[in-house]
Amino acid sequence: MSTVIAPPFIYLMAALVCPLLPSRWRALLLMGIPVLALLVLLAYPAGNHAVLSVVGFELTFMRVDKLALVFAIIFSIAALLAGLYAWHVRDTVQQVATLAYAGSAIGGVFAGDLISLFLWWEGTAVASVFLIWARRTPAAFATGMRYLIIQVLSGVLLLAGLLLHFQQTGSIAFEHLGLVSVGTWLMFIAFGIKCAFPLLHNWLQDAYPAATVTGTVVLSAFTTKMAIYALARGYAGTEILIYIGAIMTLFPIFFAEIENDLRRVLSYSLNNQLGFMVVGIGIGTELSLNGTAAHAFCHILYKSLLFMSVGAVLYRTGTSKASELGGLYKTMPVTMVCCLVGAASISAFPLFSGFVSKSLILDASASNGYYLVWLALLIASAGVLSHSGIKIPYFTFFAHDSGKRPAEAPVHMRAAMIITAALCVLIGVVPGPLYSLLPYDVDYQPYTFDHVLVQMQLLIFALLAFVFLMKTGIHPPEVRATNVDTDIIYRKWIPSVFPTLVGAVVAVNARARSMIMALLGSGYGNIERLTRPGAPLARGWSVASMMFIVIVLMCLLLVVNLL
Amino acid sequence: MAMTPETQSPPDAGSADSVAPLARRFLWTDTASGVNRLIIGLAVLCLVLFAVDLVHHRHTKVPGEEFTGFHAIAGFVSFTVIVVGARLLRVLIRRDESFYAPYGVDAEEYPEAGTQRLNHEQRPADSLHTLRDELLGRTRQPGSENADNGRGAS
Repeated sequence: MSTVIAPPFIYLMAALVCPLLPSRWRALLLMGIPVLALLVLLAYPAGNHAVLSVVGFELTFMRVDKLALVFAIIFSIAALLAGLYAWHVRDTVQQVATLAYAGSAIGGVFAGDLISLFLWWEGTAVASVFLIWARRTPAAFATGMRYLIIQVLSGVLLLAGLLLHFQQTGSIAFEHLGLVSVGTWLMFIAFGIKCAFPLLHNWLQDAYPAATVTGTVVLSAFTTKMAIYALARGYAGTEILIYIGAIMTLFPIFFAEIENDLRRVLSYSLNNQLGFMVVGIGIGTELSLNGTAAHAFCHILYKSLLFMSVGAVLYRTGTSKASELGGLYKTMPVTMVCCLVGAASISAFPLFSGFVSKSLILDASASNGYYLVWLALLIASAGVLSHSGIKIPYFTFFAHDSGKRPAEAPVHMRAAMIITAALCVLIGVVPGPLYSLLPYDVDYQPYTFDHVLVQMQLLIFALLAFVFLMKTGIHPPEVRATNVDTDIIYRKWIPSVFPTLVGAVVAVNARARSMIMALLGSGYGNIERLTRPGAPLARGWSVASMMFIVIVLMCLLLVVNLL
Repeated sequence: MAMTPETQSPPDAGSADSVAPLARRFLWTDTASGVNRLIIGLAVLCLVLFAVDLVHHRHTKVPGEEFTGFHAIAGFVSFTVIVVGARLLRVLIRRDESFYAPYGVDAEEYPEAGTQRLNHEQRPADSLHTLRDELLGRTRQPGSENADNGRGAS
């Protein structure tokens, strides 16, 4: 199998060809290429393939094993569903960007060495920013710029890390790295930026709601999960990841609860779910890594479904703000049902996909003695129900009637949502096929009486709490507002410091100049005082006094000579 | 369904063609009695689930988890704490929508070009027939920017 038909290159070639095709063909390409590439990658035997020798380095573009395969398969499915969802799009920029982005992500998970990983890493950044800029508004341009800077920063840190790592070990192989040197720490932070670690997370909530209707669906599937794969490959079992992941599951819940823009709520929810996966990577046992891979698989499906349903609402009403919506179930029932399926999946109701994947991670944390982390994940599970399980479907489709009566989502969007919802339910009811894809053997049985019982207790009592809080009015209402997060540091505080900083520099410069000018001025004044007409140095002296000076000097010379 | 203390009746409650066929099954969510029955059902389910915990011995992995009704109480308490905590957080971080304008998308409207803002009355007659039309590139509404007006390749 030569390089040219490796799946990521299929996507790239399709992206190059895409602008030349008429619009119907472009839409077909967006659906056909994922199918073709999926078939090709399933045909690849395990091992290293597509090795290219570049300036003395051996770049392995197709390293095929079970961990890479499970991510590549779900990426292909996500690309196919997004292509169906975006059937109506005529914007060539978005279509090319989607193909390039999906291809780069699949290339990233198949990269066998760090340099090819870096190439695909940057590829996802450059391709995905166009999905934000495709919105073609000034705010989207600014947001895309911020997004690009942060993503490229992540790439630059990866490059720096891999160079240091190569200098130290002489190897560019993408195997288990561990936090052993400055180079691996830099790469860890680079992975963490794309993975939305705490304090490095805000680009996610900033950029994803700023993309187009279909753009956000595409954006949500690839970058963060590629970073999860990279962490799982390079840093499995790193203990600090457990605590980073636990923090990641907890803090976004509070922000999501009070956020008005529903797509930003889903972005915080994405951050929360990434925390579960990161905990699974940190624990590092076979069960927990299986849990991470399974959770990534299920998460891409139900998160895409949720973004699709909110996107359909945005498409029909022009807004995704919870304060402007409500009562939409009357005219968008299919969208509402699909949204409910997605909400049930993310909350991990039994018979839905989240139930069979999240439980692997919770079980792993309990079995390995991380009891506080287990408790944090349990609290986070109740939190997920609050913002994704209840808030998204309730405040969009039910709650107070906004008076809006939008038409149902178009046929292709409905088809995409129904297929995704069906997959969520199918995986939940029959987890066997998913478990067979996982990197390690699974002897875990999700449907035990105890497990179903405790999960139902957690969720139903949380629902009861919701009813209680709504009836008593404690639940925060949806209001038109922006909530600030740590991005206020680089969006407001640092820029606001600039005028004072510049003013201070200008003032210091002015003072220094005036001081030097004053010094020079006084120097000039002194010189002028001595040399102006009539001054001592400019006066003519009489011949007699000149002769007197000369005789004195000659006597002095004589004296000095005789001494 | 509206569970907030101040409820208002929707403008056209369930008049025949302002509601999609599938949605008619869900119209009970807008009635007070429907919502009450849902809440009572929820409460009964809670009692049943809690009661199961009293008679059934769970196999537990975490010390402390065998406490009766642990998960039920954990679910209720954590949900409440999260919502109250979020409400407090809002006091700290809430700003006006135009706080980041013009560099943030909160303050601006979604551009018309990326949407097809139809009302329920204007809905296209979606059926397999029109799906075939869609695949063959035939226009459905004149002047819609998502159709290519029968030109096929464009």
